[in-house]
Amino acid sequence: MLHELEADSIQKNFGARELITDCYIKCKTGEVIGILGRNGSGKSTLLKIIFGTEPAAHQHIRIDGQKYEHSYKQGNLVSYLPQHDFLPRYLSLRQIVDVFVDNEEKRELIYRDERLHIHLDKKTTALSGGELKYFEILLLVNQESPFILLDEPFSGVEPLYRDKVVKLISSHQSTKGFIITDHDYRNMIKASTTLMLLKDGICRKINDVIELEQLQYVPLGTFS
Amino acid sequence: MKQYQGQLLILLTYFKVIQGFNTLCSLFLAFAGSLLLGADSFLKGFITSFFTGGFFLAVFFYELRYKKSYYFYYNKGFSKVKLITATYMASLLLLIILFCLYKLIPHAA
Repeated sequence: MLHELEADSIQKNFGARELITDCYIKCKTGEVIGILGRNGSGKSTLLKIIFGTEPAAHQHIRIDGQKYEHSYKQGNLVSYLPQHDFLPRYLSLRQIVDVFVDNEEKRELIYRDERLHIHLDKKTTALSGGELKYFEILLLVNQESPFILLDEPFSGVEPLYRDKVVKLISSHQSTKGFIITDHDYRNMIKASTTLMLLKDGICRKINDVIELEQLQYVPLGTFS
Repeated sequence: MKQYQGQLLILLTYFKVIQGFNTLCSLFLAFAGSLLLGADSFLKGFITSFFTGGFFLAVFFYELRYKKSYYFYYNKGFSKVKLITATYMASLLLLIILFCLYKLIPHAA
């Protein structure tokens, strides 16, 4: 089934500073929207506003035409990976899967994952940064939500797991829509179907990677 | 039905941690109170603390220690207010059940 998420007219201020002034994002099932931007440009804030955990001066979030103030409260519309680890440290991986994943077949798939099956009875603190991020994303893509927001999925992740994260996104792309942000522009380009740059509070669609040089996001000569 | 079962499991996960903290806090506060007011006040002090100071201290400790984990619950549709309210109500329900059971037990005069 085709789903559509629209984030429109998002405005966010921090005191006198206008962080986001004009953002429009549309994401459909099968799309991976990659949002690039410098530190402090508002990428994480934008994802939190869409998820509904960050208030904004103005926001208009619609999923399949229905407006939501706090989309996360629906429980099955949007899943969100924050920058920091978010799994309870007092539970083992197996307990987390049991509680977090409702579908029995999906639970079995996670139990049998080639990278994670040996860690199932350990707590998340026993995992490496890459393993933990991979496990978190694996849990999220196995939710019923049609949209997944990933905030820095490649950050602090070793190259092997970066590739696995890209593969995980592409393997679930046919049934979900993804909005991702990260500084790792190479993997972002690899994973995304549409690229955007958040600069000066405005979301710009990037039609050609050369524009990232022209907009001074990457050094001149990176792509040309 | 399965969806409710999943939601109950999520709530139970939060409930267990909060009430674990709460029990420890309340035992400590009741013990401190009984030193000042006498051993008879222990149970009353424990129950009072369990539904007031001990509970809120537990929520505060969770906030300090596991703040990031709230996103685990957000992803399942639970806001912080919903989690805290549901945990508090479940504790009250537990107290009422225990009280009823206590009343049903015949006591020697």
